[in-house]
Amino acid sequence: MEVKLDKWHKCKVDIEVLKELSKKSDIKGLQHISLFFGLLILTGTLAYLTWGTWWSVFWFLVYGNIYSFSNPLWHETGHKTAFQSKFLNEIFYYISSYMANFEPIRWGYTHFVHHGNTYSTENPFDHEIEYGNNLKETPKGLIINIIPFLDLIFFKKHISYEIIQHAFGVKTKVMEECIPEKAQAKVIFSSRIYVSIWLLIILWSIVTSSWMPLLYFLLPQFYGKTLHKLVAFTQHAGLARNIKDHRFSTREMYLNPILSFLYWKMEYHLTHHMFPTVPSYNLDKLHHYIKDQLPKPNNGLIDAYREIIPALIKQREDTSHFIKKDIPQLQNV
Amino acid sequence: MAKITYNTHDNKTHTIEVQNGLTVMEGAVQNDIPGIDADCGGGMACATCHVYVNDEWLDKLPTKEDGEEDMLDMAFEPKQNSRLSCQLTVSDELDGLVVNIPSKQA
Repeated sequence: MEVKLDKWHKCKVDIEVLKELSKKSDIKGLQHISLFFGLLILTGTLAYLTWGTWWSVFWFLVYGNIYSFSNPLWHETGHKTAFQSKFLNEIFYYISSYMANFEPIRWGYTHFVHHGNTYSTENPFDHEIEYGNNLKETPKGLIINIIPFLDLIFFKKHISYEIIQHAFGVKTKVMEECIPEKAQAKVIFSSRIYVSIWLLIILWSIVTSSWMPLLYFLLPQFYGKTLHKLVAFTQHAGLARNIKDHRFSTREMYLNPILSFLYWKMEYHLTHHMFPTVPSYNLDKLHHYIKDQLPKPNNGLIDAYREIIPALIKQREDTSHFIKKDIPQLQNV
Repeated sequence: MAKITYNTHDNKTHTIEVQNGLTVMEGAVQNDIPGIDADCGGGMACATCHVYVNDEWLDKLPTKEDGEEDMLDMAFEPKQNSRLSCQLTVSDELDGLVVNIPSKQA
């Protein structure tokens, strides 16, 4: 691949179109949030009402798998694009950070690095690369992540373990490389709050002799993560690293309306990386505006995994391997 | 190293020594100065590191590249002295630079 740009590549968009599509809306954000939390309340209630039967297992799985899509809410509010109001973005940023098991300060900084150095394995390292930089371990990491409760066995690889380390003041790699000195105390304080909340939930379960508090507020990210992990893993998996061009490092795909809703339209991930201030509810419009300048999007999860799985297998043997995306402009040159 | 002064919207002043080669935006982020979001991480793909530069510094700054003006057009209340801080690379020549952070980013 010849393309190596000094500056990030950006597709051509009329600035007036971009301005229009960058407009944020409290109403659209509130509609989305209401439906999302409404679904959680509905499925959570059904799980409660069917407690003691196998239906409860089913409804908890549904609840947990919806709950895990709090991660895209964290992402959207982190970019302050879920709502127009700064207050609404902030309050839901902290709520969704907890739900997603993302300590908010740490993930705020690493996401900043992720956007400035997407999929970079060189200095600065993109700490949001899935399962670190060990391509030989990536398939194993994916399997651990999609099978319910498996990461309790491999707990040291789980993001909760890092929070515990930070709560005890351990200087992890991410702390040293990504978090400015002046913000590290905030990360430690925030991690301690998280650990305290977890302990209170465990205590609540013990005192009430009930699994319910754990199942509703602590464990969904362990038993209900499958669907979200399968979707989110597609963002960069198998693609080129260390290149300042999102068309090569980031995947654009189409999803069905239900997944698209839960995922806050982050299937247009390439479009998002190029234009991160465009709210999710306009990403599809922007995608259609620039799609002639992008590689062909994957058509759904199955199509994406048809190219990802062989690439992951090859990368175990040859870490320089990656999926080469065809770029329309280059073909036309 | 250059001393950069960031004035935040709540009238607080932060004077920081920023390493040469970093951008004014990176200096703010690394020192936890509020008000500069830098959503795109410095790729000039957003206008969330918008600052107002004190007038006496305007001529001493690198000229705007293609695209910066367009992005600034998307910023909250852009003015004549608006710049994207991700486009201002720190050097000895910028020692003493003063930038003012707007009340909100785009």
